[in-house]
Amino acid sequence: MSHHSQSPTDRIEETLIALILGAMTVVTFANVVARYGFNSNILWAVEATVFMFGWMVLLGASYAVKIGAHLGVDAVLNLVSPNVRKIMGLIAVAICIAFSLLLLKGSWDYWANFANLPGTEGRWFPTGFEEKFRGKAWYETDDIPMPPILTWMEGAFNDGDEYEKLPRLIPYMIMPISMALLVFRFIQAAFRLLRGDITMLIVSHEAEDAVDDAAQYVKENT
Amino acid sequence: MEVVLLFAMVIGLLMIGVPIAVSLGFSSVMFLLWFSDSSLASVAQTLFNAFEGHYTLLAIPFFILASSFMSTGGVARRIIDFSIACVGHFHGGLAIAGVFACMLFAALSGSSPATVVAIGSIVIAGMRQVGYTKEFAAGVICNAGTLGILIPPSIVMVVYAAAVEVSVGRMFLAGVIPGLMAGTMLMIGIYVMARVKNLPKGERAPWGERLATAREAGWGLFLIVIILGGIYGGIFTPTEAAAVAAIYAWIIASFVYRDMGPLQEKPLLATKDVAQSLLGLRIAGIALIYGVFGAGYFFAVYGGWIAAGLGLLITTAVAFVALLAAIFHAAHKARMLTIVHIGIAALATLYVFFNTIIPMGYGIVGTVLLVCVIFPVQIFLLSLIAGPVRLLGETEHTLFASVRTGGVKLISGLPRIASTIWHRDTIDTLFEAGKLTVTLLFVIANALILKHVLTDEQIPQHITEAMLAAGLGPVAFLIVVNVILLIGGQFMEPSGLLVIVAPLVFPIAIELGIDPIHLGIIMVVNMEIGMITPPVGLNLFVTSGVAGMPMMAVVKAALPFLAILFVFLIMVTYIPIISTFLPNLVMGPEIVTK
Repeated sequence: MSHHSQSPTDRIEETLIALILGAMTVVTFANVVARYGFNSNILWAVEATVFMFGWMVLLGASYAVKIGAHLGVDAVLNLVSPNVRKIMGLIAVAICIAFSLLLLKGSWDYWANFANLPGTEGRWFPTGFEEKFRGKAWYETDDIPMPPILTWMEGAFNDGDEYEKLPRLIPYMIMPISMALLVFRFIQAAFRLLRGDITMLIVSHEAEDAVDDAAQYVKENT
Repeated sequence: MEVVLLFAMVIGLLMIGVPIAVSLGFSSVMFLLWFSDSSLASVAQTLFNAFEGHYTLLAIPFFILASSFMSTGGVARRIIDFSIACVGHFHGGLAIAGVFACMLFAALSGSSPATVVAIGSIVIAGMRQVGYTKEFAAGVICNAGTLGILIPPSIVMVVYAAAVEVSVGRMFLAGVIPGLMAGTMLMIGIYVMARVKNLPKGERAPWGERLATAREAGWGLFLIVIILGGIYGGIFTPTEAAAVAAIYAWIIASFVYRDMGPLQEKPLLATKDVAQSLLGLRIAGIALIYGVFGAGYFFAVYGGWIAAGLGLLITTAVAFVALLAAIFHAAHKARMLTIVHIGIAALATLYVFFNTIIPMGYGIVGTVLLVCVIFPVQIFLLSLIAGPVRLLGETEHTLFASVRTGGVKLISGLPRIASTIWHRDTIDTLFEAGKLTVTLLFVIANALILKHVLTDEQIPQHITEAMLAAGLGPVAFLIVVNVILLIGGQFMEPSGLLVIVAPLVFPIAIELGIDPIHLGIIMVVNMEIGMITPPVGLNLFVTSGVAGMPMMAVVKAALPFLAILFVFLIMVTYIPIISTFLPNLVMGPEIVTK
């Protein structure tokens, strides 16, 4: 295992990724056991796993920016001089920031109505909140039961009507959160590029870790 | 014209070092905002729908996880031992065994670089010790490792299946014959070279050794049965098969091979106690599993979410208690009582077995598969019945000592066994697999936005019309696809490239009457070649790391075998039956809807 965490935030993010993946695996496995061992089904298993999957990837995307793990093409970057590389890197990170800002607006617009909040006006840039919109907080997931601990949400979002299933605003909540994190991490990366802490946004090739591990292994075993 | 702009933008952004995911997403968003009336909210929805709407993609993290657990070293070493015992006695035997081992490992893992690391780090060193040149060793492994994405399971195939919506099961089956063919061609090539250059050969291994190594490797190789048997036996969906494989791989790595986790340093039993305690271990293990099942039945009856029935609950509880009692009596040297309680437990187990699995109606084959795959318990059961019978003939001491040492050790070792779940090694492996999943899936999710754009604008249809108007047929089209993928594959990671190119060429191929599964296999083989051609050949990087030689030297070393793969690519491209025979045989002819 090549990467070892330094800061508490690193550890929290890493553990979160590991936990979500572990939970996805266990739930899917448990569903198989339920089917053949108990002739039954965990009704919410598929839907919950799919949502956890989305959460893991979207949350992980900003973490991957932080550790520079995103896949990319470095063929050109390796040919040019360090100065040109820095300029290209800064353009690249500007585009990344623009992209994550656009998606942040899109995510907010998409999620807001599910939480009875106004989306934003404007096609490219948010120019203000919409004045009229139809709240969709009554919209429930297909199968995931409502945990009793969340019943306060019925008063807050559903006019006191009972939620039989988990409202969709919860799984979708990850969208604006993860995109905000992504904006933050890309801005951080921009500063690190400027200062010269990193030379590019992307991992030069996916196999780098594997190569280190293998070299380590060969050294230990020969 | 807008299309050209779209793709020029994607490529331009890639070149200046924008991550693949952002290049795809950003270009698509720009295109949508400029040329259509879609809103940013709908883009966000498409992004989230990549997960919500594509259950197939869920197989990817699980296959990556299974492969990570299997890559801990022990599995690869046992597979290599088995391969050497099988084919090591030919001329160039160790090299041939290396290819064979890569093929076997490819059937456990869905990724090529993982295969090179697992097999290469051991085999390359071994080949040099018996007198092969470093270059020859690196060339062999570098090429054979590419089989990782052709022999099922394969992550690249899951990506293709999700991107163009064909069946993962079909894709996996379609990879079997080409995978075996490519492996065989490589082996024949090596054998010919070995005869010409008079390369060393090993000694012929006796059948006993072959069996012994097969048994050792069997635990790992059983994963193939779980994945393929499970999918084609109709037991699991590919996604579930992947999850079961991941759990199985974790159990094997932590408890059987003990390459990781708390048992790695200090096993539960001292080596001298192992043989003696086996029966006790089985009894205690079964008691525990029944404890879990009993609890499950209890909640089932209590919660009312299945019709399991009170009888099953009671019987399971009886089996559980009887097994614990057997250990207790063994500890007190009460011989008859031990045997009686084991007998009660065995009968209760049979009762549960006949009342749960048989009535499910999967037929004989289904039931047998179920018994093998889902219920290792039932295998224990056989040994339970056989155990006392065998031991009755031996001294009293053995029977009691066995049950006592094994059972007591297992129960007292429970905290350590349980601690495997949150052991550093488990968490680290989960995290590494998670990280790989995140980077891969973020690319795929954004590529699905691009796919959305292409479909909305009917771009593939326009290209098809232009191609047909220009008089291009299927043969010319396939050449174009090959060239695009070969060039693209030299710069980009396979799944990323595939998920961009597939939605574009797929509708054209269907229009031209090319089988979607055949197209998928062509793409995968192209990706294989892309992995061993510079500048971005993943396998080249990995091999240069594993073999400790510079990239360019590996490139040169890989060339002769690359020629073999090229011949193979041409064969696969123009002889569709190689890919389509097996899936059509097993799953019936494909119905193509345009």
